Formats: sequence, structure tokens, C-alpha cells
Amino acid sequence: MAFRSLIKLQKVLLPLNTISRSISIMPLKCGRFRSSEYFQGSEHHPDVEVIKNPPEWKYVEHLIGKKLIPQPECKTEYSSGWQPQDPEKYKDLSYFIKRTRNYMLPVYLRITYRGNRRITFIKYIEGDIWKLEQECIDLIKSKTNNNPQYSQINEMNRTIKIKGDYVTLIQKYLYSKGL
Amino acid sequence: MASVKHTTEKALQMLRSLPRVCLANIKDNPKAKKPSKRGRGQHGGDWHGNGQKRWTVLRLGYECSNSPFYLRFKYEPYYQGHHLKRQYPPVTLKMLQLLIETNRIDTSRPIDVASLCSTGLINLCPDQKHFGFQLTDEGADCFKSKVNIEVQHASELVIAAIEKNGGVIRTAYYDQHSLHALKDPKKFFEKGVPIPRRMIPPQDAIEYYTNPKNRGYLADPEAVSKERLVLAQKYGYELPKIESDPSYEMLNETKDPRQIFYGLDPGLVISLRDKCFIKAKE
Repeated sequence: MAFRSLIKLQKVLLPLNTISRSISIMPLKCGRFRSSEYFQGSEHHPDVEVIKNPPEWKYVEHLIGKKLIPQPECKTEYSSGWQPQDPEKYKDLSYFIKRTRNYMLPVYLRITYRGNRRITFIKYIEGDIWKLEQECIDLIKSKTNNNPQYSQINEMNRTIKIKGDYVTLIQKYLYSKGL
Repeated sequence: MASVKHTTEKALQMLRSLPRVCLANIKDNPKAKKPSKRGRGQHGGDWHGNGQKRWTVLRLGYECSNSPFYLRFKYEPYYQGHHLKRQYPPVTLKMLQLLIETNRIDTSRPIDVASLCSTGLINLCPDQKHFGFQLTDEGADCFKSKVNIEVQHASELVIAAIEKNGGVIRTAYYDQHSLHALKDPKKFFEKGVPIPRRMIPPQDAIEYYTNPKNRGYLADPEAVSKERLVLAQKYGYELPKIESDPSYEMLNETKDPRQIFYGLDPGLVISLRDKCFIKAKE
């Protein structure tokens, strides 16, 4: 089917663009060093024309992309679940969590021992780390039948570790707090 | 009797002319080592464990009457040719929506491999048989963007989710050389080589990319627009009219089957420093 249908297709594609004329099934020539031709001198190079400031330069600029991480635009609704920080909401809190350079919440899942140990890891905490930890534990307890929860605070590094996978739960809670 | 020397003096003179004692010229005293003798008696000459055959060297893999390891298990070619199969790393619809909302992808331009790679958050390794991205259906309900996207593989639900929001999706094949150029266009332009032509898909991929149900780039455009309507009826949504859309020009933008970059023809050499194209005269 394959090649026959392509030949049929060629008829359809041909009027689309002039480049389609070049569709041909050919093996790669001069693909290797040994099979390639010897250098004949620069006078044997094809004639070239240099087009300065072409109108298609905008396509090159699109391809090269941005050097810096762009700031997210403010929207009324975010359907992916992500939310920007809201100073109106978090200004009364005694703690603060800095966003990462990609404007994401620094809440991670650490999987070790072949998936047997799952730890929720929160970074970049400023202010009252003990209060944030207590709030997270209370939140998890309310969702897990008041089961005992295990956590660890590293006050020096400003990080919290909580045993278990509660990344989405904590992220949603922090978004609701405006962080 | 001056010529007659004392024995001690002779020995000392000899010792002076001899080389110094070192590891190279010392050896054991004679008869200090006893060579081992072949055993006598019932099993004296046997090579224990190797049966009656006293071969000097056993053949490779032979385990002396055990079934050899290389024949012990059946041949189970589950992974035969896995190193040749094309891989398509997944990009979920949720991830795409997040990239759009955090301003990492510009929806006013068509999205392709280059724009996904330029976010710096998704990695593609063409040398590890990655032939582009597949768009998967995670987050199909929360996807709310109007995009013109070109991926390498997409399921029916993904196509429906994109077309429901008034977008356009197309599946297209890129060979590994094109993907290397698309992965980092700046690096490719700096090499100063002409933009190559995109190869046509291999024989086993042509069927996928000519199928209008997969929105293949080689499919008949009329058949594709018919399949858009069929899918809208199947999933029960009203197909937004692209023709009356204000961004119709963007949604209708496509690449030629032999083109790698949008708007740039194969054969061009791009000079980033002088901001010019170098083109061969016909």
C-alpha cells in the first residue's frame, strides 16, 4: 500500500507548494566521508546570493526563542490548576513560600527504595516553618481518618519532609492560601 | 710470595667484580622446591568431575554432563528489535495547558517540536530513537486553548479535545536529522550548513501519516475536514468554524511535507550574525 499510495498522494500534494516537486525516493548520496567528493576549490562552489533583511526573518526569530524565562500573564481563570501568587491573600500569613524560577510551587515527591518510600518535600519556606508544618499535618490527618503522620523539619535549610505522597493535596492548599 | 693471595682476599676481590645482589639475580637454593607428583592408586590419573575424558581444555560452555547454560532456557524474543523501534516521548494535554498558561508557549504561533523544545522543560533525544512527541490525553477535560499544533502521534481523544476548542492538530513525521535541527535551531543555524529537506516517512509509518483519522500530514485535506465533522458527531460537540475565526491565518498555517521549519525553505543557509539568508542561484 505504502509507496503506491504515496505516488497517488503526490498528485494531491503537487499543487500545494513548489517544493513538493522534489519528492522522490532516492538513497542518500555522499552520506559518508569515503563516498563524498574531493574538495575542488572554492571556484567550484555554486553561485550564491545574499538576501539581507528578508521578510522571512521573523520565522528565524520565532525559532531562536527567548533568552529569559517569561513572566506568566495575569488571567482570570487557570484551567490547569496552576495559580500565580496572590499578595492580597498571603499578606496576613506568618509564613511564605518562594516560587521556583519557573513560577512553580516548590513541593516535590521524592521516591526512594524502589518506590517503597515516598516523601513529600517542601522547599524555600520563609517565616514560621513550625506553623506551616502543623497546618500541613492537620490537613493530611483530616483526609486520612486522623492517622498519625510523620514529618521532619530542617530549620536550617528551611525545608519540610512529610512521609507519604501528599503533593497534590498540599499544592492545592497552598494555592488556596495565595502562595 | 706476593702473588699468592689469601683466600679471603680472593673472595672479596671476586665479590667486587660481581654485580650487586638484587631481585633479578637471586634464586632458590638447589632442591629447595619439590615438584608435585601425579597421584597413584584408583583415581590417581582422573580429572575429577570431567568423567573419563581427560581433555586438557574443555570446550567453551561445556559443563560436564550438565545441560549447558546457553541451552538451558528457551529463546524468548520479546524485545527483538526494540533498539530499532521509534520512540515518542509523551507530552500530556495538562502539561501543554500549563505551558500555555505560564507563558512558555505562544499560542499566536503554530506549535511544533521546536517550540516545545525551546521551553527548556521538555527534552528530546533524537539519537536515542526519539522521533518526536506524542500528545496524550491526561487533562483532556481541563484543556481550554485554541492551538495549531503539530505532533508526531496523537490519540482520538486528544484530537477531539483540541478540535473542540477550535484548534487544529496535525501528525507529522520527522527524520532524526530534521529533529536534531528542530531541537536546537540556533545551534543548527550556527553550523552554517544548508537547511536539509525533511525525509518522507518510512514504509511502516506511511499508513499512519496518510490516514485522515490520525490527521496525518500526508492525508487528503478534504478527507481530513470530513473526519473532523465525524469526530465532532461521535464525541457530541459542535465543531467551531475555523473559516470565520479571527486567527484563521495562523490556524491554517502548515509546513510542506519536505520542510523542517515554518517559513524557511530547504537549501537556505542562515547567518545569524549578519541577519541574512544565503541562497544558491538557480
